[in-house]
Amino acid sequence: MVVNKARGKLRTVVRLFRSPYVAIALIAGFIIASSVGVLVPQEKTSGTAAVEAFRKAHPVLRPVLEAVDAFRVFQAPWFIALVGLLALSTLVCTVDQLARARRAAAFARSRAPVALDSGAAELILHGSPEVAAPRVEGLLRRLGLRVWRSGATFRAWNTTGRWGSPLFHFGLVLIFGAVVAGAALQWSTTVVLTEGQTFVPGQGPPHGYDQPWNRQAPDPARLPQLKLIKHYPRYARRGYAPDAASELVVDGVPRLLRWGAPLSVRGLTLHQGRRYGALVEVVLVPGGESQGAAAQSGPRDPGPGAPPAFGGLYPLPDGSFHGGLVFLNQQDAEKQVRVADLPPLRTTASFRLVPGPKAGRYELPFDRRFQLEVVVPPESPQARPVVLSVGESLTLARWRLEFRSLRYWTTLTLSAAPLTPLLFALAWWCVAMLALAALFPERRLELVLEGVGEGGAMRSRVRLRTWAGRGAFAFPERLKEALEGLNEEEAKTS
Amino acid sequence: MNLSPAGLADLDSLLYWVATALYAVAASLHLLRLYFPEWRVVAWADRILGAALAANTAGLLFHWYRAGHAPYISRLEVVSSTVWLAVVVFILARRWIPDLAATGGFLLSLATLALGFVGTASTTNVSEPPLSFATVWLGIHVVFTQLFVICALLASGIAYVELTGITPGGRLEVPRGRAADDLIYRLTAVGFIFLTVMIIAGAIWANHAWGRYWGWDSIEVWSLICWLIYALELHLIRTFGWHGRRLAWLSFGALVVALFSMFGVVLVFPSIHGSYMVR
Repeated sequence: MVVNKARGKLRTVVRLFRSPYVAIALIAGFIIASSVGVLVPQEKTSGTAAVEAFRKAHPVLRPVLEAVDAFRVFQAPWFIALVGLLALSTLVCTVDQLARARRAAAFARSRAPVALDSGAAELILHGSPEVAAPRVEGLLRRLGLRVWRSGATFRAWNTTGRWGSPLFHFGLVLIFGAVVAGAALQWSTTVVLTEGQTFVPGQGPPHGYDQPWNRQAPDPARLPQLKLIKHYPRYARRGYAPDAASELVVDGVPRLLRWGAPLSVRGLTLHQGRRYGALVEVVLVPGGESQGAAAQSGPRDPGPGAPPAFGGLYPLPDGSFHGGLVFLNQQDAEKQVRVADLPPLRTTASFRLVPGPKAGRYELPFDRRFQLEVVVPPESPQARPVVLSVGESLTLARWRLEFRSLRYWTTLTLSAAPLTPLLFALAWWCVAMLALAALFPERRLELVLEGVGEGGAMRSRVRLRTWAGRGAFAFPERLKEALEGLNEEEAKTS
Repeated sequence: MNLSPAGLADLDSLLYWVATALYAVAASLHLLRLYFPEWRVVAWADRILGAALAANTAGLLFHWYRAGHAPYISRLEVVSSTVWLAVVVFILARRWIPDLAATGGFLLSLATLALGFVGTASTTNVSEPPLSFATVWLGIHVVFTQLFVICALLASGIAYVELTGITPGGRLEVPRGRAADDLIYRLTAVGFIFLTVMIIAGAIWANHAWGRYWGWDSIEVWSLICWLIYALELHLIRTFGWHGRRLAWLSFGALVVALFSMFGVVLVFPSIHGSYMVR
């Protein structure tokens, strides 16, 4: 009894998901949900600042949007459930369509006698059935149909395209499954390095690691050791902008990592990140003389895994002020202006990184190709922009601003997505099945020739029934025109 | 001739606007041919279209030479190359499918509007493409986008003729009834295939450029919405047998979504895709 009830419920569910209305409702729901995801800024893509601004601008809508997780639509449980239902509907429809395609193929193989009632279309061909039959068979074959003939009875079909739709939907179901499985298996981690810095797996955390499905930390043994070197004597060439690339030493081997050309390392994929730029070290020294810790020459190593630090100038025990200014460079955007407080001078200065005279000479070290433009406000004696190269300094009142060092920094992304090749194979499979369905629409027909008249005036009455899939709507009319054309051919030859 | 950069830019603009003007004339003649096929002036429709295509080709080649890259970076380049491809496909396709000749007026009118709008909102300035564009998958992505848009436009052109009920007579064949439904379905189905390839190629390019295949960016979501709308349209045709005027209106609605997805999203919503397109 319990088993029968369960079977009954299962049948109800299957019937529900087999319904094209349900499929269309789910598709429409997915479209509406995705539209919300575009109209409302999303935390993951637009950032929290944009989301907060939207919340403040729409106080009435805010509680409603938060209740439905509108700021995280694509990660919301209801959205994931919707996708799951769509996948289930696709699966049930696929099974149904495969059954229908098998029945269509079974028709084609059927050798049962053809019996057409008076409802079938009719037309008249010249000649007796014995004479007309080979001409009709030839015509059907020229139309791309497979033909079975028994005397004056025909079955003709082209059901190849019938398989396209169910196999396409089957591919979609597998894609759904591969996406879910892939999300559980994949991970990525981001490493931020400055020039000269080394990432050693297990020492210092990687940055930005966040996987909703898989919170397991990456196995340090899988991660390569990465050291960033920014000098391109070997790789400098015309038409190539290495500022958007990183020369790395990966597990002791020098490699070049460029945009659009990820590296494969230990089975992982290493990408040049979108965020990269320059870290400028400046020091404000009192009395124009270098003292104590600030008197050290050369760049300071910020330590493994530490992100570039931005801010104003911070005091050191020796009375000097030290700061790291981070310039962000995305593709060919202008270098941003950084404004930093100069505490002892009680004013601010704006800093801009500009290409130097040797900017295009990529064989030179990074810090020789750029300069620092400094602008101090008009109330200061130094009211015009001053351009400094690394190692140069600028006198401001009783202070000296030194441009200590310039280093390249970049984000690098290590990722693993083992099911990606499978996903793409399934995607191309779906494209092929779509082409099959679109280019070979299903066409079937049954045709019987009956003799009419006597002797030399005998003609053939054609009884015809056709089935045409979508994309072959005009097939019945075109077939009749073609059959009538046989009479014209016959007239010409006779 | 002034061969300074400013002079070259002026010549570039001149070629662009000459092509636009000729397309406008060709569009008018093709529309007139639908309504007044007996007028003698409509015999010039194909010749003017040929001249427009020649001007468009010259403009694109010159711009390519000037920019040093194929025309797929700025909005103006993308729209101009899409129109060029649409006209080429239209001219070739109507040899095999004569019914498509009736869509000329609709197609060329939209092409002229697009060229005019983008031409006034953009410039022929050239810029070096970002490094994220240095992959063959971007080229595949752009070409299949254009092919999809062309299929959507042709399907809507048939829908336009169906809805207006024009019977021009003469040598121009106009698809009707089941033949029109057939053509709309086949163009939609083929366009859907192109759209699918476009999304796949776009995902591969996105991984090259940004290190991820899919990031729920505005333009990515809208391309998915467009894909679903066309999937919906195909379901309504195949499963529910939509045809005639209902199918024609559906085709128009899907075209609006398609054009917005391809060209409008970057104007309205912030998108990583749009940040790379030079104005």
